[in-house]
Amino acid sequence: VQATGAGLVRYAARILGSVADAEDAVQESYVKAYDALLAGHFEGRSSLKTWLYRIVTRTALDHRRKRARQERQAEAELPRGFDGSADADAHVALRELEDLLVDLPDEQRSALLLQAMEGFTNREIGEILGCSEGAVEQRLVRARAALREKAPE
Amino acid sequence: MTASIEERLVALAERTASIGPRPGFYARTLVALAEHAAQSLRREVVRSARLFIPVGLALAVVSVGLAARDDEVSSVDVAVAEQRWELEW
Repeated sequence: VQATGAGLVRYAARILGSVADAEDAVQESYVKAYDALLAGHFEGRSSLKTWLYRIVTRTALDHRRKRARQERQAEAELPRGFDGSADADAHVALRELEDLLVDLPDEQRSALLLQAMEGFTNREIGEILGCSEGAVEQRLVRARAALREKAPE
Repeated sequence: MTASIEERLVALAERTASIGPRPGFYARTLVALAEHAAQSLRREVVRSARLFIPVGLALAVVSVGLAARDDEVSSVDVAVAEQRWELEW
């Protein structure tokens, strides 16, 4: 947990736009990983790191979808207070990132975050997202095209 | 918009690099994992008990039945042996 927790929370925060939500998602991911290890579902075909990122990606995207449903039901965005251990600018940047990526489909958003923010290779991103390198490349091209269209350079 | 998408992504990556878990996150996570492990163990014990208690009871009944039958056979054997011993004597 100590070896991987900080990076996973930062990645989940970049998906969710909130450190508190990210901590919940990562904690749930560790419990899922524990169950999967006990059940022998980790076969060692990918590294432990990419395997954990896969679980966190799915869990964080699930949290994001649930939150979107709750926000739609409430017909207003839930107030999210200052929740972090980092400086104020990091939280402002988190919201800017959220605004920039808000219209991207989940698979494009996670592929872009894993490459541009977490520094994974396309092969590793394929392992994490469960798709081929070609599909990763396609998602990245589409994500960048959508961002250029949204915010012309 | 003057910065390219790549420049914006790099800048946002740098500005969010200091994001991390709040104090106590590791302890909370380890506690959650320990509680989950204890719950899993309890569930497993109850599940195993549900399976093994009826099987154990059935085995016990069969064992008692077999023991009673063996006892009957040995009683007859003893009676025959006693008769034979008396006749010989």
